[in-house]
Amino acid sequence: MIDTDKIRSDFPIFNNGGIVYLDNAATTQKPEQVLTKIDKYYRELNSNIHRGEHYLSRKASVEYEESRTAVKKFINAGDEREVIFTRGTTEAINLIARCYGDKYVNEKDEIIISNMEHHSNIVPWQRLCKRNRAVLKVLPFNDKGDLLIDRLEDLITEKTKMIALTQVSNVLGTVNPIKKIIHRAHSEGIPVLIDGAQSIQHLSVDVGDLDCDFFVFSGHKMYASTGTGVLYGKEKWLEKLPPYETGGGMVKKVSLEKSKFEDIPLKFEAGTPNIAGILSFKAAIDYIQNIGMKEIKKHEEKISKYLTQELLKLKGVEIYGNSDERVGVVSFNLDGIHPYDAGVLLDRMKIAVRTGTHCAQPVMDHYGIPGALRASLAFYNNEEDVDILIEGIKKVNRIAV
Amino acid sequence: MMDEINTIQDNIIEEISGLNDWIDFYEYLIKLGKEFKAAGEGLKTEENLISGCQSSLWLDSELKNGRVIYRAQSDALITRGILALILRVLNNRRPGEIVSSELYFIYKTGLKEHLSPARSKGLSAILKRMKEQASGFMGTGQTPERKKGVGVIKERNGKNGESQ
Repeated sequence: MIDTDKIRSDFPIFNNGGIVYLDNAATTQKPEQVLTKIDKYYRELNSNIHRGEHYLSRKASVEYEESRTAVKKFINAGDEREVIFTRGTTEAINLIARCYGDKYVNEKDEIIISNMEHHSNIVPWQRLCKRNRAVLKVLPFNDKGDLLIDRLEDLITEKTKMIALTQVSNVLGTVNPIKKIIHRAHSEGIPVLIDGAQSIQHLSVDVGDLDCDFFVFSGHKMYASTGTGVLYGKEKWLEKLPPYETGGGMVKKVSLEKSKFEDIPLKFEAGTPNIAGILSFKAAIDYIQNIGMKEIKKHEEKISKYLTQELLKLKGVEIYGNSDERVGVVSFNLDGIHPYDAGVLLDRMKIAVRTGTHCAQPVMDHYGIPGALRASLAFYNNEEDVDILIEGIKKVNRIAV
Repeated sequence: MMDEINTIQDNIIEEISGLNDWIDFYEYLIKLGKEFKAAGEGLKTEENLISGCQSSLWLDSELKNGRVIYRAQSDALITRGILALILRVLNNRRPGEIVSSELYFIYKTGLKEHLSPARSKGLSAILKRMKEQASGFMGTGQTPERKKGVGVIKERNGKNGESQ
């Protein structure tokens, strides 16, 4: 059983009291352990990594690589070499769209995404298709928020070069049957990239079991620092891909005529990374594992169920997405109230929910709405947060209708 | 004439300072939003759209008898209420007055929160565009013919040649 009071005492932002934070899909709050790690790095360890032979640099490099090992274990990757640190999910997808795309995607080739992707998993592929004159195909979803998996059969052709799909929708909360899709794609030799930005903090992820070719996620959505992310890629792919950015840290030998690149993972980590942030990754993983992914899932499911149930008790609430497999987020609108108006008023009541299109405009288009309110959960949320939100919504209804 | 802009601003500040709390403040904005007259035909075009992540705004303007007539609309009530206040201050003024006006009432009321970066695609963008359009009318101030604000901006961007 998760004791949210105890957990909250680890999060300084809640010490000031008063705020109901239900915008965890945008970013999660940070526990003391993560903050301490960042602070300690700058106070006691500050140096550049993988460069100097002095004590600080050696120690920082060791800790940096310990973070990589922690990530490797957390997602059950086969080897540390398969874990690339990035600035976030967005950079990781851009890296693959650029490096894989420019090498393997040619004119008239096809990329498949879904209609429930975050803009970060749409735009890089759009740009790739434009650059290389390829075709972007879209797997639709139904009103319930489930992907129409059967349609995949019409979309997959011998021209398909990549399927890029989110594991969990940042608007609908749907957990997509990615294992099935990966299996199907592989039967045609098509690689699959999974956007794990909204799944990594809620579900146990095992990239070995999923067998996906690429899996990407952000640190800041799983209690670590902003400006950190992971690109997991199968070794066989990462070895073949050209580097993304070039510069210091990713080269073995440079002359003015040519350069020899580092092996993976450093080949993809040009320049000085966000060292403090990456170190905090391990602190965040340790924190999560200390609570336990199973416990987290159980608790969040309970709160999510309660939230949905209480919302539906209110008159005129429409919830988007009602898949049997959901986690993390509940998006909704109030009858006759623009989501912006509702968001502004809730904000005045110190209730942090997200309003707008959630960087997923195609999802808004599907439901024909200008935007939605979204409450998204983390393990520190409890029934009381939900109750305060519900009271807030009742107040919004009184003020704005 | 500038005095008139400032007098109205002072009136608005007084009205708002008479409100008890944030609930009253937003009820006031929402009431203004509900009373805000529906825009006529042809406002909601792609060209007139100032799109934010949060709510959509449409704006156009024309010059009539040397004065700028704005038309604006939004899909959100609070935004519409704010638009009503801005139009109360700036509508039907000479281009020069609009361009040199300082809209201090926004900073002296709770409205400034709506200027925060997250929402800036809305309110700050509309203020910027209103001044740009007024500025585009300058020099044509005495001509009685109707001139579309959007078209003038295009001229300023050089798309319509050197008609200035």
